[in-house]
Amino acid sequence: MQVSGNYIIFIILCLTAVFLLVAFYIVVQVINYARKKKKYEAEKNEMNQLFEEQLVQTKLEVQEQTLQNFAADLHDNIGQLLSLTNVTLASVNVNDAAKTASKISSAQELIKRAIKEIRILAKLHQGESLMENGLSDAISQEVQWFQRNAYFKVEFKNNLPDNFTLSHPYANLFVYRLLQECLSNIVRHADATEIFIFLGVKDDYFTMEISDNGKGFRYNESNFQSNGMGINNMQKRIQLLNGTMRIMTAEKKGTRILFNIPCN
Amino acid sequence: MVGTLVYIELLLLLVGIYYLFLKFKNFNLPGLIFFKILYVLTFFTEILGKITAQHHIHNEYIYNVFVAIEFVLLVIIMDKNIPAKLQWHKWSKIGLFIFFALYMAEILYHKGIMDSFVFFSHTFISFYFIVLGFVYYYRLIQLEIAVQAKNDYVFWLVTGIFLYQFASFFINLFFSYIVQLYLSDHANWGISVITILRVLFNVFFYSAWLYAFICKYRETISSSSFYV
Repeated sequence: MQVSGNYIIFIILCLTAVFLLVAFYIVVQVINYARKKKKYEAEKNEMNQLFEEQLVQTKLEVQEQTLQNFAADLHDNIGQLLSLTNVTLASVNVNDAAKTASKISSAQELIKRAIKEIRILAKLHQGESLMENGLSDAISQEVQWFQRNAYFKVEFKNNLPDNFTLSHPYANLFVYRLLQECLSNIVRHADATEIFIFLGVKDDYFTMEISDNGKGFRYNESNFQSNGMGINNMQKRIQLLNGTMRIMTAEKKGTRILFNIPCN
Repeated sequence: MVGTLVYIELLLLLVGIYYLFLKFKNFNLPGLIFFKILYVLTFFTEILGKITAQHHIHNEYIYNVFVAIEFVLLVIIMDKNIPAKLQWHKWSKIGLFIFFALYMAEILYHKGIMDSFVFFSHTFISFYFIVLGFVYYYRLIQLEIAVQAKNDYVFWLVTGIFLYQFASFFINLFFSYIVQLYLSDHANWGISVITILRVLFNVFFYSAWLYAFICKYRETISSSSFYV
């Protein structure tokens, strides 16, 4: 009886010890879980804030780039057409009926071209609202405007489905800005004559490739912040979208930039 | 060893009383009056229990009355402090109803409260607060907005009761059997170890609640609130 009593009390104490440990384990696990959840929430908020900051910056950059394009086009293209129209109309001699008719017809033709240019420019100025028709359409408009530039031979291959958009709300604008940034870099730094742009989707990844036959540059990944080509910004945005950016370049060998961004 | 633990227990109880009566004088701790009654009642019950035990006077009736009042106070305190979004409130009434049904049945069975301890009612209290602990933790980790548990006073209030009841579950369950062994002079060491453990679990309980008061005090001072 005594052995049995001792034994039973021993069992009760062992069970109590086990329950005590289990109770502590549960409490510690709940605290840890709550802490991790809180940390995750903080990281998520930080990420959202980063997204918001990048979005505002991207919007500003898109606007600035669009205005630059606008100004350049007004000066180089529409301005020239209107100047030419002015010169043509100024040279009209009302006494020479045949030449007058021809000159008015030429002036009319120039005005028509100017109106057409203004319409294209107006479309470009819509900027963000272009996204409403999908990323593919927005990029096509941008490339179309760029193709009018006589300095570059632009080849554009668009394999995106109609109305394609990336699921992340900010991704489309970020990608649009990436393209603008790359084209701007080519114009400002590359001394290129040919540009190739490819858009496509593979394995739920959106791919954008932009290459040129320009002078290329010495690319040092660890020091891309100071090269003044906005690569740091591009890298930041790509990271926010969980995508990748590969730059393949060498001096006098052109540049090829490849973006891969998850569609979902 | 028991002596040291009892002094620690008493000290924690007194510091708890200090917080309730002095620190929270101008702050709103939900159910403050019930906390105060519980602490003062516990303090005097423990003193009375010790005195009667020292004079070898039966003290079951003291603990029988105390258990019922303690349970009601704890249920009210939890009901007033656990946030509505953790959906515990309806279980307070159900818990009180089941407890009093069991309590009355036991009193009728023993023909009064004088000679026998209300064992089943006491076991139900353990079961109730273990379930409360599990449900609370489950709903806490399911909350959309995370709560920083280690600084949340409700978490420590629940944890205090949960630790005490969960750890002492088997001791409570077999307590009458252990007392029988003790009275029949077999396995005397068991009652000593169990006394130490009970005091130790009380120390856990009062420590957790004292920390809860400190958290609530800090929270009130900084005017921040969780669960918003």
